[in-house]
Amino acid sequence: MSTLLDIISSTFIAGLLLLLVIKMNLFVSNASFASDNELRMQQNAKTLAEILNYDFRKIGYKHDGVSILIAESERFKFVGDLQRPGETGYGSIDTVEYFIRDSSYSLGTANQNDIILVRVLNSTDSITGASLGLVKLNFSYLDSLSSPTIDLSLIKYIKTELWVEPAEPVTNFITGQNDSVFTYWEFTIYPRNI
Amino acid sequence: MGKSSLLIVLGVSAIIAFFVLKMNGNARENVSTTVNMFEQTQARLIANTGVEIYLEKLYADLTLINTISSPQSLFNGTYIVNLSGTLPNVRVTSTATFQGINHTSVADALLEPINLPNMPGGIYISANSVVDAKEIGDMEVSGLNHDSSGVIKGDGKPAVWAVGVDDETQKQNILNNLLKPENLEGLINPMTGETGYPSVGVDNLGIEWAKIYQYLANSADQTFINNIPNGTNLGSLTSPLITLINADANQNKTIVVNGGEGAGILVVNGNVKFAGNFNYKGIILCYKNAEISFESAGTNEVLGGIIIAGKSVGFKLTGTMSVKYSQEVISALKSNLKADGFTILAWYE
Repeated sequence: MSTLLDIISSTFIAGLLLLLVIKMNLFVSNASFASDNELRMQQNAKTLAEILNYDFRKIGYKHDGVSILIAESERFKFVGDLQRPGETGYGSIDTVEYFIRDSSYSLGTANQNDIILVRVLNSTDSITGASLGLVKLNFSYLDSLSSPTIDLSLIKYIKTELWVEPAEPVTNFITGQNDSVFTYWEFTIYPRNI
Repeated sequence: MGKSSLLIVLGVSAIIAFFVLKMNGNARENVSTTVNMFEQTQARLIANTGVEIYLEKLYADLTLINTISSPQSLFNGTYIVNLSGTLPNVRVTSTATFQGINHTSVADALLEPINLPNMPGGIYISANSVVDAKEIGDMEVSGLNHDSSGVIKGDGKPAVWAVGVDDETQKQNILNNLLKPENLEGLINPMTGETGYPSVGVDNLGIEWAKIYQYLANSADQTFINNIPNGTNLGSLTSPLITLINADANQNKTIVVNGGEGAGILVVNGNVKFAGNFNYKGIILCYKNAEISFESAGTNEVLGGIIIAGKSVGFKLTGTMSVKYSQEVISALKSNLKADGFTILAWYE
């Protein structure tokens, strides 16, 4: 009788421990997924910032006159030589345009809000790429006194704001709801040639 | 039972360890993402700073053109600068390394000459009022063109006004008080270029003299806030100097230039007195945003021109003060004065 009681008790305890292990495993998987997603989100935000930072610093390089052609909150077009002396293409002025496309162009991601940032080089070479989780983009333009301006010839600073979400929604293990995680990245660039 | 417990504990430990390592790895990667952005920025800033530093070095020593620097340390990184080109144009290529990240900045710059103010007269007065205008007539001011020895070149043309002022009222004020009109010889008819005396004309340049003063003061080779003794090096025509006399910083608010000679641009902030035998080749700019006093004693000669700008200008003369306009001197200054500095034409970063 006591042997039977021991077996039942140990089976019950083993069951509890097994449940604990399974639950922990689920938690670990979920947390790992969320962590990976957040890391990717951070890296995507940085990639977007790097691309814009690289291009914006060339605005007006080797170009006389007004170098900014379009300055809107979600569209920006400028001219400048993107290559430095010694590089192939140096000496020819490039035209670069940035604008966004809505989420209907962002196929293959579960995020319903993500948009596509499009970079068009010299009106022909269009790089659309993946959404990189971008959900909102805002350009604003400042004059030499850091006051907002829409006068293309007075623009001295370009302020960029990026809102980036994970490409895939992350479900909270506790609440079962999607987490509203996002990264906000802001930077202001003073192109030296304008 | 003991073995089972051991297995379960080890299993749970393995899962937790894997989880911790994974979280740790992601956290490290996250930090690395941010740090990498910082490293790129730092490399760019080091490269840009290298450009700025070596433009200053080149300004101080023009023989550095077409040389490459040795690796320089800055902000825990290094940079190397290549200065290439033919002056006054230079291309500065600065390559920086910070934590394994490289960045190259390229700047094209132009060595700008000092901008000399135009001289519309042997003496040009820009002021709301002129006090003791009759004293001007005690000077010998010539708007005729002289050579660098002080001899009139040919017929003295092209000539400028002996005394140029801002408006008609000032002109009449000076003419009405002149005791020796023949002392002011120069242009009398700007249409024909005819010369004669008294040569007093209106030529409002519309210049903000405060800015010109500040510009020249910032470029000064030397600054004096006390009286200048005889023998002080104030430059020569082959090696002119920009000398700032900051009389306003002196407790007496007046500085005395005690004889001697010099060449270049003499920038005076406040009241000045030229005493003894003072010979100067170049431009003397006296500026003060208030009343200004120009005093001369002994035998003094200025070959080039004098500009006096203030709210009101007062003259006090004893002895002889001779001012002779000279294009040759002004041209020599333009050629021989040090450059103003580098202007950036294009910057790649």
